[in-house]
Amino acid sequence: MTNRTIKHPFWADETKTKIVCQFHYDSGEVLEASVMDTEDGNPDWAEIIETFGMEELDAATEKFASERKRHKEIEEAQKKEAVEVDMAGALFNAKLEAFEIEEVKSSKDRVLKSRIRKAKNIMEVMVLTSALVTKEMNNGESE
Amino acid sequence: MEKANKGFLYVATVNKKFLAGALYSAISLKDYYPEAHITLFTDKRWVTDDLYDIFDNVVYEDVPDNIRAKLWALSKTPYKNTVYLDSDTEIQHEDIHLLFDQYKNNADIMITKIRPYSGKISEFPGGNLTDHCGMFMYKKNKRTMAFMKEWYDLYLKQASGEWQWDTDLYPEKLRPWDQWTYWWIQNKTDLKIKREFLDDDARWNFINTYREDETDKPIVVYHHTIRT
Repeated sequence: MTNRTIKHPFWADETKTKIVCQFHYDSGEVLEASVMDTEDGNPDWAEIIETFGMEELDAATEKFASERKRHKEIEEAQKKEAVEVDMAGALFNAKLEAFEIEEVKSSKDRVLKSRIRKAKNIMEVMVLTSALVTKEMNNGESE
Repeated sequence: MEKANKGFLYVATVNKKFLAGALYSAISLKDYYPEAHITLFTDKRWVTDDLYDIFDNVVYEDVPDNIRAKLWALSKTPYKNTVYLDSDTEIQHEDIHLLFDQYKNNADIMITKIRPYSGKISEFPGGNLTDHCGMFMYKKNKRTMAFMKEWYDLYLKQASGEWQWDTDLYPEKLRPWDQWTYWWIQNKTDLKIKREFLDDDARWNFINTYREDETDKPIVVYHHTIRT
């Protein structure tokens, strides 16, 4: 049987009846494992408790939990940022499309054009664009 | 084309959305600065008469179909003093007409600073990118034109992989960025030009990810930084 070393153990939950760890084999293979004690006594469980001790397991568990929390926070922040970037991109694209409309592009109404540029959502872009186009069309008819 | 000593330059190639962006930005520029003289470099296939309603000068002959055609265009500016604007910018204040007065200390180029918290990449073992190349103002002189030509030539070698560098100092992930090419020429070659940062620079190139407290004056140029 290949020799192996147990690394990075921590409690799987608060009941402290299961340990998550890694088995590092001499062959280079690394296996993630969950180890529980048994009625007859699990030698892996005994080895972990003897090698690392309860205090070290407690400390490793706390460290793992705080790292997991930090990773989760980073992941959530990245997801939130991606959603915001997508929404900002969609809003900007809507404004670009509005300014490709002839009546908007050639309008001298700086105030309404500025309001379209400053619109905070796509609905606002649509409503203001519609108002400007209508106004320009009416102006055209009256001229 | 009517002769103008100072003007604004946009470049839109590869994807037609960049033309829509340039048009959007140029309309905002004319709204706040109706006398602004604007040149557009773009793809010949996209040129229509209505572009001339906004742009005073449209250049389309021999414009390369390259994502960084801007670097090719910079040395072909018709102006003595040029403001280059990315096509995802927007003018938001009439102070834009004061921009040409912001030259200082005999600089060849006036530019804004990168905020590390806002950039995809700014620091690396061999140095750090400090200058934001999405908006800047430059003079047409021999030194600056040589710099701009080298910027494009070196970028082509960078993009094709012909130019290899010490990746321990300068990570490979710098390869897509023209700001990296700019940094190299400014810091590692004799072609460097005199650069100054614009005062209260954030208002002249306010990136959409900047914190609001970067400037307490009205934003003049807002930069949407759309994904490419």
